[in-house]
Amino acid sequence: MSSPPASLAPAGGSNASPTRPSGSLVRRLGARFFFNEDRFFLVLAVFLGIFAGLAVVCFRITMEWTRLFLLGSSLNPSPWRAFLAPSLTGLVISALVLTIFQGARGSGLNQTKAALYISDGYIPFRTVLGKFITATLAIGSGHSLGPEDPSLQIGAGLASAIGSRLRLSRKKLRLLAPVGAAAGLAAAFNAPISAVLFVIEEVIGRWSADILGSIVLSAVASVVTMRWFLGAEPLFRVPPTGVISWEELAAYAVLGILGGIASVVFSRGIGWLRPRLKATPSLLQFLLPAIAGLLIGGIATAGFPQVMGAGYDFMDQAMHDQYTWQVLGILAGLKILATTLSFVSGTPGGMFAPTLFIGAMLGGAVGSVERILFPHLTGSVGTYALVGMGVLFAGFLRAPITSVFMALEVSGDYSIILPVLVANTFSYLLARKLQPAPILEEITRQDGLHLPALEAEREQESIRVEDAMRHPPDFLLDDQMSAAEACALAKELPETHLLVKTQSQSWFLVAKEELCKMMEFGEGGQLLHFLFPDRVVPCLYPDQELEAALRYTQEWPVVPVVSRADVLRIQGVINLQDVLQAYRKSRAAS
Amino acid sequence: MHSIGDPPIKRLTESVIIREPLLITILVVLASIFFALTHSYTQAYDHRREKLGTQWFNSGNADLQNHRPAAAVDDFRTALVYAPHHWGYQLRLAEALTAANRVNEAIAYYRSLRQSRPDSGIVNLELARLIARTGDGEEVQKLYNGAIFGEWDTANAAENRRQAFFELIDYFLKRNDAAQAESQLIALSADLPADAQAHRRIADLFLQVGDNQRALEQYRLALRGKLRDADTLLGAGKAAFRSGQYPAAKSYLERALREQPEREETKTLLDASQWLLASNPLAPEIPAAEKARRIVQSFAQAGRRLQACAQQSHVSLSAPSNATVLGRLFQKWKQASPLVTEFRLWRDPRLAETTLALIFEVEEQTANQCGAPAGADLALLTIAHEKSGESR
Repeated sequence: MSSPPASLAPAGGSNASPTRPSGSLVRRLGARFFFNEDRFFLVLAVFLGIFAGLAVVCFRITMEWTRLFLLGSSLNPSPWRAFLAPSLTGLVISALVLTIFQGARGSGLNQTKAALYISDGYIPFRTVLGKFITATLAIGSGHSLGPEDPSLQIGAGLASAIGSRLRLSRKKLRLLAPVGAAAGLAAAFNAPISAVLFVIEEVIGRWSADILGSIVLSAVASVVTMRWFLGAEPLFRVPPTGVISWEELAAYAVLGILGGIASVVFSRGIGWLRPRLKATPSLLQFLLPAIAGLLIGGIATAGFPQVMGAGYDFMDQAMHDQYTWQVLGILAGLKILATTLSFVSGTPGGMFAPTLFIGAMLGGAVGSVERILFPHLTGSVGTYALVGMGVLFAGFLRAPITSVFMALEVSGDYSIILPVLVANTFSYLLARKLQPAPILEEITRQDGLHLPALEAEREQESIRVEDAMRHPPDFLLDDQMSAAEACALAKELPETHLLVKTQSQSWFLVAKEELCKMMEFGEGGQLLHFLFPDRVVPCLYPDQELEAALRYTQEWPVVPVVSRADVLRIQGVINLQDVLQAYRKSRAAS
Repeated sequence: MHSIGDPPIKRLTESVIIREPLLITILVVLASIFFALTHSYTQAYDHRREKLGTQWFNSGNADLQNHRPAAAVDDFRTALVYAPHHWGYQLRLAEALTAANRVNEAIAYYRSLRQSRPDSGIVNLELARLIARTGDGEEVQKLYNGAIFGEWDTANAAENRRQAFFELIDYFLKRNDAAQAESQLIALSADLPADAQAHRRIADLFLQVGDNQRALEQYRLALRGKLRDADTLLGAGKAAFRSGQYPAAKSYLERALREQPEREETKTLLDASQWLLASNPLAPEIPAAEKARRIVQSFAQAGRRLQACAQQSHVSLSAPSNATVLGRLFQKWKQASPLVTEFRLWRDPRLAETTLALIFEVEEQTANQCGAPAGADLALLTIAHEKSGESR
């Protein structure tokens, strides 16, 4: 955009002039053709993806070793192991989190977001190490938590640790955390598209070309790395979807509604219990992970060991019709309880896997009931379980776009799109209606942080230029007029600054005082076109957000608002006062 | 930003030409080291997983052998945690579910296996067996066909396919669907190896669905395959007898009797065959006088059969009564008796026909009332059936 003339522009002017490489010719050429920070950042993103992938592989395997050691190799641990492993490990986790790894608490998602907005994306390596150790212990011992959110934080932390040693610019350093986060999540979930979308939807909150490429590259690199070691198979075997008849969409809508209700119950449980437990004496807080472990052990011993750990094996079983609808319903309810207990106790671990577990069980239950009530419908229980996962994702984590793509990516079957859209929409809308603040936002608030509420931001109604602009002036000058003619006309008009229409499809702005001064210098006969060749003023369009106007009206006393179809057709004018007044009005209205 | 080392190194690392390649080299080295470490770590874990999978699989097998299918289910499920895509483990889990009588779970599990391998012969067969218990005929047939035309990992694939065929035929026979069973038998017989036992088995089934001619062909193939036991010979005799080839039937039955002299069924059939060869009134190319003689003989036999059956059923034939079938028939027989002479029958072919019709009616009704006959009566009943078949 052109810079204003000295007489019109405020002091300081534009600071966007690009810095040019200085030094020798070789160095300049090198910088220009071979190496620059943007290109290096893309290469770095690939490496970050590889590192995150390797870290996630190690994380998952360590978790499995821990499970083998603490719970034994049987799918159904013995009662004494089920009681002792999560409770005693809870004590160790408490000690670690309270003394060495204070930053390792929580799921990892909010912590990564906080690092991005509060400390320019910097996550200490100690937090990464702490998250790795404590989440491994927690999930491996049977706490009802998942490895995905910790993987996201581990990826972000590794990226931050590597980036901070590479002397990158502050802007790039800030981008490292989301790049690493996407890589960590993609590797943990074996789903690069969902990971990229989730990070954009929930961590960054906006689409931006400068980061999208790096995030995609890192996510792909991490998934390729992870698959190299752990294979390309998904975390659970997804049964073929088959043809879904239109009658079944009603059942999927019911699943969406139930999923929305389950999401709200889950969110409210955590939102209600967490601050109360945080307010308890420190000794009790120290014991909370152990108490949660004991209660989960009790649930497992009572005949439901499926609630322990991430539960992917049991999701697989639910998808393959291994449980009756009653058992599936009970498991969904117990998993909500177990995860709430584990999470509110401050045990480090993620919410993704439990969310998917609850969704799979709920979906499986709805599918089984549908098969009993309407045996002529052909939908498989596995498809319902898969859609159920997306439903809880949309309702509980409030990531509607990711939830749809996750179901598509995990199933690899486009025919599932309709039920996913129907069920997720019901779940998302119902959950929003019953619980306006998403759980992640509520947790952030409970922790005393003020991070951007991305869902609210997405939904916020923006103020546009047309809401603030005034009517255009009755008379406009033309650059083919002489200064004398223009001055004579200007004296009749109330405005101090006048917009001049040019032959070159643009507008320029002159001060009335300056225009008439030309007469005194004997330039009255000159055309405006020759007198003010460099006064081009930027134009705005009515549908642009008011933020754009704020940028220009600080520099220009008045800015024309023109039609997108014809730049010379003026639709209004706007100045700084108009912009501020519009903001004030909007605030008063809200 | 950060200062690294002394000034010359700092200058070197700040040079735009040197810095990025240097950093990339460092990253490559670090990634390679991390990669190698992770590789060793995953190898160790994979080895452990494999061991655990085998251990739990063996434990499941032991439980199945010791008739503890419920424990075997848990063991196989655990084995699958360590080898989730191991086909053998998956199949054993399904078998354990079946053995534990968890039929619905087993069906669901087999269905899920079938979704991943729709052409697996064993999965189709096992699923067909389970669903056949509850009875969705169309699906059962589809599954058996899946087993017949599916893939078998074992060496004896042809034998398994044949077994599936036989089970499908049995299924149809149990549902009294002889037509479907026969069509499957025809398909199966077309692709049968030179195996005498298989020929005998399929011949028995042909006999069961009433396709006597094909049954006889299969028995002959079995006999040619050196399977010459009493059962095969009796089967061949039966098939020959039912298809009207009485000389052949006599020959097979005599051989069968030599193999197993005390077998009543063989004796009965042999008597009937011999009687038919000697006294069949409908035998082709016999002179009219001989035919008349045989009809008189048969008429007398029918009378004896009627009286014996009446006695067995405690029906009195002496009182003039039309109330019972046997009584009505006896009245008819009694009225016809004076007319049934060799001369009259020789002279009056219409009388011969009505007399034969009465004889056949007597044999059929007495068979209905008193059970299957033997000897001459069986022979007459066979002719009666042949005759009614022809007229139909």
